[in-house]
Amino acid sequence: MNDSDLDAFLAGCAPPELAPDADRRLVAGLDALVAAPPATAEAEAVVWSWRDLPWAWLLAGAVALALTFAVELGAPRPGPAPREVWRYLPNPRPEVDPPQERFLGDPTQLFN
Amino acid sequence: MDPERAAEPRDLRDPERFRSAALAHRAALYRVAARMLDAQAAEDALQEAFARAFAARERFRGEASPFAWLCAVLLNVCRDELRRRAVRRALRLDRVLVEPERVPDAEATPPQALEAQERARLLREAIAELPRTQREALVLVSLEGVAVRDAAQALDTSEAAVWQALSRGRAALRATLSEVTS
Repeated sequence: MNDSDLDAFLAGCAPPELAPDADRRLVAGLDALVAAPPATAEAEAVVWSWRDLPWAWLLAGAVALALTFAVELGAPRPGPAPREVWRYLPNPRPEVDPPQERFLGDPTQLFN
Repeated sequence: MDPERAAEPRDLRDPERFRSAALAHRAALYRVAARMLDAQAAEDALQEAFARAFAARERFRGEASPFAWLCAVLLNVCRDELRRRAVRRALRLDRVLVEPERVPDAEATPPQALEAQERARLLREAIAELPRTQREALVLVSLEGVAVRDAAQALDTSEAAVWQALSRGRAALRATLSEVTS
């Protein structure tokens, strides 16, 4: 079958026609729709829908991923217990300077 | 695009304008749906498409023609229906839920009409086997004579992609039909 045979075949197939009673139903349906509109897009937009918000799915995915990692990090791991680890670390407390001698006398006497 | 369509109003927010646009294109839209589905399902699909389009008419920005926009909504409804049918077939529920296609009375129908019905059935089955983009491009452009520009807008793709889908679809249809008719 070549291109012109295909065109001839397609031309031989009568297009499906809208039957009069189906047409009447369609027109009646349209009239009813216009007369009593169910909801406009603006009214629909007020209703929050997950499907309309791809970023919400992304956010939900990110939260799920973060939770997975958090659970993974919080889980007990093989190795030395935390108390033993601290034994090998230097003292985390900073060196504290010795307290300075405080001057309690008259400040004007300092320069005399 | 023909001058009549170019002169169409591009604002469908007014219910009356929406109604007149839907009425003007209903026959062409019905034929598109009937090529994708069958007569009864096409009527239901068109009703559903009008309801969806009416609810979303505020979102129509007039970038495409009203026909292309209504056609895009209708194609979405047809895709949903085809998807539902595929699920039913996969679950083997079709035998219960779908009535068998009515077979025409061979004695009461003239031979030419019978032949036309047989050709239409062959074509519907061959089209149903095509991938979605090829099927939709073929139905819109080759069978319903929709301009490629309008078809591209309805399919939300480029005109080059429509031409490519059309070419591949025609090749596949030729192969299937020559197998069946030989």
